[in-house]
Amino acid sequence: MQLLSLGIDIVFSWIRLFIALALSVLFSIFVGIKAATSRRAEKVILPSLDILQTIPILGFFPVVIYLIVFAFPGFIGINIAVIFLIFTSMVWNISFGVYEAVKAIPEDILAIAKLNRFSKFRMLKEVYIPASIPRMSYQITISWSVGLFYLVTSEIFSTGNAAFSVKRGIGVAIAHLSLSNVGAYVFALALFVVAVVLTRIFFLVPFATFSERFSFKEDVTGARRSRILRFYSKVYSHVKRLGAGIASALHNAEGRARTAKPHGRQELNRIRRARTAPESLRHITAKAVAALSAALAVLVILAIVWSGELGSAEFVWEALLASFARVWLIYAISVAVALPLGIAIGKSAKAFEPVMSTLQVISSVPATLLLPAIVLLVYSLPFRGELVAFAVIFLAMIWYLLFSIIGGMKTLPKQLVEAKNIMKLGRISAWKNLYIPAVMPAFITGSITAIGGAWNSLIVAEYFTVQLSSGKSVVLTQVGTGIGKVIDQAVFSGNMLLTGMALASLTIVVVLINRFVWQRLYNKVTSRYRMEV
Amino acid sequence: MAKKILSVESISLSYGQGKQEVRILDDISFSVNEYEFFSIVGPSGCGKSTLIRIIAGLQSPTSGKIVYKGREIASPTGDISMIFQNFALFPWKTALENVMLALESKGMSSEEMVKRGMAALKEVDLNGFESAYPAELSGGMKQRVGVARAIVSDPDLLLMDEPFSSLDDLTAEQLRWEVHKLVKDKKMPVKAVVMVSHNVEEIVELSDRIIVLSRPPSRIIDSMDVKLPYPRSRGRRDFLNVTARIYKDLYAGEK
Repeated sequence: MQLLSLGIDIVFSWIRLFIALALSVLFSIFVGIKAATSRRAEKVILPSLDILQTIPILGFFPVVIYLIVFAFPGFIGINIAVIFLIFTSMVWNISFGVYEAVKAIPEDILAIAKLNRFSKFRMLKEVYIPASIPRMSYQITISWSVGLFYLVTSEIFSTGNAAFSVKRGIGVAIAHLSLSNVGAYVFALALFVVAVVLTRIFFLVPFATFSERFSFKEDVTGARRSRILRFYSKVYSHVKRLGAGIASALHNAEGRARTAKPHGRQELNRIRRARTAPESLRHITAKAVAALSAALAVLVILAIVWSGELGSAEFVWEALLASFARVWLIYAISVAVALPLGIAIGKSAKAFEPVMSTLQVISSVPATLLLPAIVLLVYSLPFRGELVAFAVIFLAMIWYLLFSIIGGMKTLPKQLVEAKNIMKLGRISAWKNLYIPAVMPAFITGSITAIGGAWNSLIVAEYFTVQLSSGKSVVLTQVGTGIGKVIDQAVFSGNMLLTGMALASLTIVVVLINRFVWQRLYNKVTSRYRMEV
Repeated sequence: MAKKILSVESISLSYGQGKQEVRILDDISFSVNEYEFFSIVGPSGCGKSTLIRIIAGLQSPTSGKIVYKGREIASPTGDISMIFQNFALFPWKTALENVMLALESKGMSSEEMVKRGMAALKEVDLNGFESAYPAELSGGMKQRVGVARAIVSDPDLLLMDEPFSSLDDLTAEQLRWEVHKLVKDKKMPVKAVVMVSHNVEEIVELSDRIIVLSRPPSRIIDSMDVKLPYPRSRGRRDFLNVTARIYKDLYAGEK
């Protein structure tokens, strides 16, 4: 009986997921191909996608629900809202994938299409779409896991207020069960994992296998880098193009180095100058970004001055500061766990396969589903609210970090490890000189996604209520103050000004950190640490 | 009488088990004497790179043993060094730091390490490039750093795995002679070299002794001493005789 009921819940949830996925794929095909084939569209689409995926979408969810349910009351509205949220979590990733795949189509193929005077429709059908399938498959696997988190969270979230509640769905079922019956809760969790594994076996893996035949190269996994950085890596490709010039300069340099030894240092300086030439290009981008952020900063100041009269500005900044501290503290702890663990897993050839598949299954359980268990676990401890928030944020970050570090280890050339062995480097030296530097680029990309995930999780981690079937509300998580809590409470008390302010400040902080901390770090790290073998 | 430094005793290597067993190396034995430039040539996929890794102690054979200076070895010893096909430089370290890494396990003071690192870079004509990162160097210069790193620790045995095959012809030619000079110079501590390559001319240009491997399961199908004077010119009849013999071996091995 319970199995049947839960089965129906899963079917409902999975239908939402697949609708969101289908919409994401359609959107990505249209937008990704447009951006890749038209220079003018590219200039608009790429930066927009980049900003959109940086925004903590979940923060907007309460507002989105409010607006959509207002326009379409009842069953339809709430489902549109949930599907929309899942869509926003899946789509940017896939769009960047399509864009890059189309950009990477070999010239020869395009030349053949031109020689045969392909129509626009035929281009789409015979060239662009088939060429994007391998990347799409890879991105869909990532999007699927992200979507699971959003599905469950938005379903549970909707129960916070009866008017906006989804009636059926695995997230709802688990939220309800968890508070009444521990056995049933565990059973439902197990069922969820089974559904995740079955989807992998019957959808994701066959699709990946099918997609391989559309690949121009064997190396389909080349798409390891994070979605956020695709854009930045584009900037980098300009730098790379100059590499050809540098190479020839170096060639001459070498010729001279043989005959005129003492000029070595001068030669090196000359090479360095040639190498740093592309800096100017990067400066232009940096300037554009700086101008944009200055404009935003002015806006924020205006907003603060304006709302100061209402007395809520201080409140928002205090909350933002608390959340900021929370996110970065937990990030530090996650790094301390993920870095050694990821390197150790990536290093060992034997344990790799079993450990990876176990981790993938565990990681597929969204933090929100585990929330009731976490609450029960820390129920009697002091600082209960902070501990629950800690656990949710930690779970939202750790997998991104861990998987990207393991991925980084997998790209470590075997010869470097052999060189390390030949030189008999000790354990500490090997970590310091080889493993940690080697995973740096992957670690940075993982950090960007992890921090993004953490900001998103605040909406759930800092304040979260569940409505029981009896109509009673239970507060599951609650911290002293935090931006997620402010947003939640402002929305449900109908304070739109406060909601707007909180969302705007959150978004601005997140986008600015991305631009000024992560982009710089990434540029620095990739210029030196990326393997060129 | 030449002193024996390395002996490879009935090395075999297979992957898989039972019916799926694939034999790569089949009962390979040879020995290398002091001051000998020893080369292994064979068709691609014959397991010659694997063989040199077994000698280095990086990989274990299925059966057989490696005896180095009278002692059996199963892991890197510290006085065998290696030059890699793709240079294997650490991209986040400068040329000097890369070279100094090879001294790290020797328990030296850092001044001593810098001094010897600089000397090794000078040895390979990279004066003034000590603070360059690998990405700033051309292929030829990268491999010079690779050579400096291999000789800085005063190894007795130097292994080279396709050391010139990632370089363009001109650079490879230049570097071949520099390496030859380094190892034949008796002031240098390098006592013997084992090189693996698929480039027959290169092998004949440099080697005192050559063995030829067949396709897998690879066996030694020929071995020869080359007594031509250095520098060896590729156009001379006696040089061509040796290359012809190796090509003939390789073609025979195809069948």
